[in-house]
This record gives sequence, C-alpha cells and structure tokens, in this order.
Amino acid sequence: MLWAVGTWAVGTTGLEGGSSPGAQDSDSPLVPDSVLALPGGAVLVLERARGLSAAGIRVSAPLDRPAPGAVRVLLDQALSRALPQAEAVGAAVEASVADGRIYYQVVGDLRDIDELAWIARRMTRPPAPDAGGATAWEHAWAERLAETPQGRLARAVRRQAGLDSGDLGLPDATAGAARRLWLRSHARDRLRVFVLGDVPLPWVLADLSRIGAPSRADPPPAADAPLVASGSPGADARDAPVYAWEAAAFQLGSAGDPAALAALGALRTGLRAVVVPGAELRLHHEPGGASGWAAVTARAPRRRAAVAALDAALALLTEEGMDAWGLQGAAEARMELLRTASTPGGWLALADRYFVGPGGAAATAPAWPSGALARLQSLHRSDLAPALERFRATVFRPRIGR
Amino acid sequence: MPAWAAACATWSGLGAGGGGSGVHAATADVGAQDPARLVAITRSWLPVEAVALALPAAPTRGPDEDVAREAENRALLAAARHATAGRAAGVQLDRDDAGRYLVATALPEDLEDVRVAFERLANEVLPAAFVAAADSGAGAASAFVHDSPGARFDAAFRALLDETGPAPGARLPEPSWVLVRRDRVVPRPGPAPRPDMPPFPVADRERPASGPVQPASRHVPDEVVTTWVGSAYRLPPETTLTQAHLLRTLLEGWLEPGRDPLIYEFATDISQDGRLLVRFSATPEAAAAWQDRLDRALSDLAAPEHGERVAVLLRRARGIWSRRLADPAGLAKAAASALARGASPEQALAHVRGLLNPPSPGEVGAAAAGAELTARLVYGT
Repeated sequence: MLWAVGTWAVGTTGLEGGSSPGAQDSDSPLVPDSVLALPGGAVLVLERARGLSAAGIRVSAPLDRPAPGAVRVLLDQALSRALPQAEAVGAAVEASVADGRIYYQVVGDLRDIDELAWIARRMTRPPAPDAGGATAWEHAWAERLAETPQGRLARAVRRQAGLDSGDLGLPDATAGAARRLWLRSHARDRLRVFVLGDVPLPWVLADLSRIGAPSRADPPPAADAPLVASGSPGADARDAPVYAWEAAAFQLGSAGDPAALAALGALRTGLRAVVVPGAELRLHHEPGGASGWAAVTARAPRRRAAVAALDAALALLTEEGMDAWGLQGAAEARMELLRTASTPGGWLALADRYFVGPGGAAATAPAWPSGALARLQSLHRSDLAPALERFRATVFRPRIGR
Repeated sequence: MPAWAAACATWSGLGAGGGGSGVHAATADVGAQDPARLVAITRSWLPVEAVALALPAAPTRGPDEDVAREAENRALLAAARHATAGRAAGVQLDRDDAGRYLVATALPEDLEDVRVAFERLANEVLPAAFVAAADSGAGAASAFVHDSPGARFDAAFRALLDETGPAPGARLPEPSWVLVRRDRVVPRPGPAPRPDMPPFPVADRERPASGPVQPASRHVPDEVVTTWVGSAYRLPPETTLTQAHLLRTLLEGWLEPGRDPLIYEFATDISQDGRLLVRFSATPEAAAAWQDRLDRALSDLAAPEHGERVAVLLRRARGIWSRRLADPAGLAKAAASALARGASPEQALAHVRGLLNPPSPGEVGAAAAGAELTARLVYGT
C-alpha cells in the first residue's frame, strides 16, 4: 500500500510506524494525528478534528532564496484562480509567504471538503505565462501603502528587511523566472500538505498527494519574456496631516522562537500600561512573520506627545521592562498561540511553522505547536535576554508622518 | 444533581450536518450563576476553551451617552484583563446592537478562574482607577470623533430607530453566560436531544396587529462629500434569529458591496427589537442608486425565480458561518448574542446549530418577502 511506506503515525489513525518527534499527547489538538512521507512525494499531515464544522487545507513550499517578483506572480495567479470558487462556498483563501515558505491555504465548511481540495489544487498549479494582475496589483498596493502612516511604516520595514527593492516593491519578473521558481520550490518531494478536518486518511491521499511538480524534473526551457513593463515609482501621496506619528521597528528573528514571542508579548502587555495623554500606542506584528520584524507606532495630536509615548514604549525593551512584564508576556504569548490554534487557518499555520519531519526544523526547535507551548510554559526571564538583545540591536526609527 | 441543572442547556458536539449533536440538560458544575442564563457547548476538538458574558444594553442615545458607554467598556475590558493577568487567557470586548460581550479564551485549566473573575466583575463596582483611566481615554478619543459626520449620522439614525421602534424602557434580558469546552470537561450528557427545539422569533415581539408600515424617512443635510444611509426593516413575526442572521449574510452576498468602489462601508446587524439594520456610506450618486438596489434586493431574494441563486448563496453563508463558529470565541459570541436578545438557553443553542445547518431558500425567502422598511435616514448632500 502506498501509505505503508515511509509512514509514521502520531495518535489515533492506527497506522504503523514510529512516533513523530514531539508526540507528547496523542489526544492533544496541538499534535497532528498523522504525518506521512510519501516516497518521492509530498509530506502529508492530517489532524482529524472531530466535531469541527470547518475544514482547512494548506500547502507550503520552501522559498530557498528571495525572489519577490516571481513569488508575487505565483501568489497573484493562485489567488486569481481560487477566489471565485472560494467565494461560491464561503471559503477563505490565503496565499503568501511565512517562515521562509510560500503557502496556499483554504478554509471552509467540512461538507465542502471536495471543493476545498479542488481549490487547493488550483492554487498550486504552475504559473501561466502571462503577467496576470501581479504587477498592477503590486503598483496599486504600493500606492495604497504610501497613503497612510501605517503603510509607510510597512514599506520602510519591508525595505529594511530586504523584501522590497525600490519604491514599488516588485522587481520585474519574467515568465521564465516564475516558472523556474515553481518547478524548484513546488517539486512534490519538497511540499508539505496539511489537512485539518474530520476526513479519512485515504481521502487525503486520493485528493491531495499529487499536488505540485514531478520531483526532480528538469525545468523545461521557458521564454524569458518580461512579464511586465517597468512602471515608474508612485509618488508618496501623503495624506493631510491630522496626527503626528512616530515609529520604531526591530527585528524579531525567527518568527516561531518562543523567547522572542514572549518578549514581544511583554512589550505588548507593557504598552497597555503606558499612558501619555492624547497619545495612542500600537504594536504591529505580522503573525506569519513574513518580514521578521515588529514595530511600534505612536499617534498623537502633537509631536511632543507622540515622541514621549514612543520613548516610553522603547523603555520597555530593557531588562527592567522584561522584569516587569516578562511573565505576563509569556502568558500572553501562550494565549496567542492557543488563540491562533483555535481557528482552522491558525492551526494550519502553526502546524507548518513547528513542523517536524523530513526537511523540518532543527532538533532544538519546538516540535509541533505543543512543543512551542511547552517551551513558553517553562521560560525564565533570563531566557528572554537574547531576544531582547536582538530587538535592541536592530531598532530603527523610520519617518512615517509629519 | 444541582436543583437548577435541568434549566441550563448543553450541546455536546457541534458537528456539521447534525451528526453526533444534541441538546442536553447539563449536569456540569459550572459555578453559581443563574442557570436559566447559561449555555454550555462542548466539542471534541478544541485547542482552547471560551467563556462569554453577555451584558444586554439599551442602545445609546446621542454622543454624550456614546462617550459614557465607551468609557464604561474600556474600564470593563481593562479590569477584566487585570483580573485575568497571569492566566493564559485572552480577553476581548465585542459589541452589537443588543449589548456587549466579554469573551475570553483560555486553557481548560484556567477557564473556571476566568469565569469567576468575570462573575466578580459583573457583580461588583469597577475599581476607580480603571474607571478614571477609561474616562480619560474615552474623552480624549471622543474629542476627535465626537463631531465627525459619521458620528453625527450614527446619532441621527439611532434617534430615528428609537422613534420608530418599541417604546423605550422595555425590560432588558438578564446578563447571561456561554461556556465552550472540550467534551471531556462536561461529564455527563443529560436527556436525549429535543427534536422540537423551539425557534426564537426575532421580529418585533411587541408589534401591534399587522398592518401596512408607513416608513419614516428623514434627510439630514450636511456639506460633506460622503453620504451615509441607514435603513431598518421589520421582519415577519415568525422569523427566527437564525433566519434573520442568514438573511443578513444572503443580502451581503447578493449585493456584493465590496465590488463597487463607490461604496465605502457596508454593514448589517439585527437590532435588539428584531429589525434588520443596514448602514452604508458612498458617494452621493451611488448612495441614491444603492437605496433602490437595497430595497429591490430584499424582494429579489424572495422571488421564486431566484431560488437557485439563493440556494447558492445559502451554501456560501454556510461556509462563512462554519468558519466563524469554528473559533470557540466566535461560537460563544454567537450564542451570547442570542441570549442578549432574550432567547432562552435552548433557543440560543438552536440558533448556533441552525447557522451551521441553514434552512431552505423558501424559509429565508419568506423572511425577505415580509421585510418592511420602517425607517431610513440619509445623511449628507
């Protein structure tokens, strides 16, 4: 049988084989029931969520080196193909980059699971040789970002993180580049396929095991015709200033590092206690860790108040700040992890982040979300020091407002 | 078994399609709160549990009450977060037209402590420090929004709803609770499910004998570039809360306001008195066209020739609600919002179950067919 080979089982599916690392509690919703490594094929991860009315599928592929233009083409085409079908069944689709992987995700009603699988297969198809809407979308997105202080902050952070080049964020991509990226990263034996829902394993194998490009295929020659003409960078259409804005951003490091998450939780908790009259502080953090950065903004009618609020926020990034808020920060990070895991889409994202198996995380990294949770529960304040040091060493303050 | 056990409702298993689900009298030890206002829902796959405290609230009347309510909400949320600090619990405060909802998600071992903290908050005067800080924060925030056109529209629409709704002073439901737990936590299921679970009629329980409605239309002129429109539709008296919410979702799917770049905001709700509320903002030209489009959409949804499209939209609605209710906080909030509108615990359970198993197009169509415009406010040029 196909699934008797290269298989190990966790929990209750009854498959033969050893336990997956990190399988501490087979009944835990934070450890998948089954992990199947098919010879020459994708790794399939199944969590049979009994009693859950929804179901979700996530396919992720490694992004070996930054290729923002080609990635954008893949993602844009995937969403264009998926959105009409997803809309028809009330499903939510996502396609983005997180934790160094390109991912495609669809979540909907369990009774629509066949449609969800079809949507997942459509999203992961090879790119079409035309530009699609990728560049128009990217230009519109860059212009929208320029219109708000938060958008300008996002742009500054992405530029600092090396994700954007220039004002438009999207280097020109060619049809060949997108095709080569797909063939390289979407080879079947490099994919992970996660399924959350009350569906049997044979269904997963039948419907989802053939996603992606044939393994080790030689990329066929593809025309390197430019997908798009270069556009001129859009000018910053700054909005009429109403508030003064100040911002600071810093590098998180690995988005799944429990110590970094706890330190970030400490900052978030501490921010609630910072009161500067008239000022509003907000922490910005991409949960998927696309940029690997977090940022704090301060908004106030007067610059003096905004600066004071931001200074008070940055004072939390100290040993004293961690002493005061570290415990609560770890508790908050635990809760955030559990909150994320409680939605189908969040569970799939966490399972991908803390995946253990072929090509998975290093032995020292948490195994499955349950491992991350255990690490968060045993953290001491001193464990936060390296994360805090990284935050402080990488702080920069982009100008985003008047 | 506690004396009150038969009065509160537990639903074990929320599987789609009704498999393995049922409504049971609870035997769980869930604390000392009034059992008549408690719903316990269990599900076998649940990484995190949830508790919701529904606090029914009369709608505010005017900007001053808005600011006071906002301050109260801020103080309540800050006090709840303080009381649960140190627990792995996330607390949020949600609002709708029927009340506000303190919702927490927590690890199973922390949930009871969180619930007790909420109960204490509901029964005691909030600490002065939280109230003072909230007053200051809400006051500062209101300085920016108090005089905005959007806030003025909200106040004028609220006043019109008051004029055209039931007489003020109607008794609000008591605060109520929803617990969402893993099924191993609530120990013993009670009697078999009741197949005749009573639906909860949402619409206008105090309305007089049926007769044609004379809609109250009002235009508040203002020199602004955006036009806001608020509409309230009275639904037939036999409409259930579930049908009303599904009608909202169908209406949004039918109109697809997100596809029209001239529509800036579009929101629907069910008011405490059971009316379907639709608010949107748009360019002045689009606002005029969309009022007609909105009225026509309700009759289109009821037309037999559109049954096929309505069936497609119902499937879409099923997917949307399935995703919302997969989140334990969303599930708790949905049941709590029914309780805040006066539903019994069993009716609240029937409601969340009905959202996952939508009725036929004909049933929702009947609600749409009987919808009558009772109030419309146009704010702007």
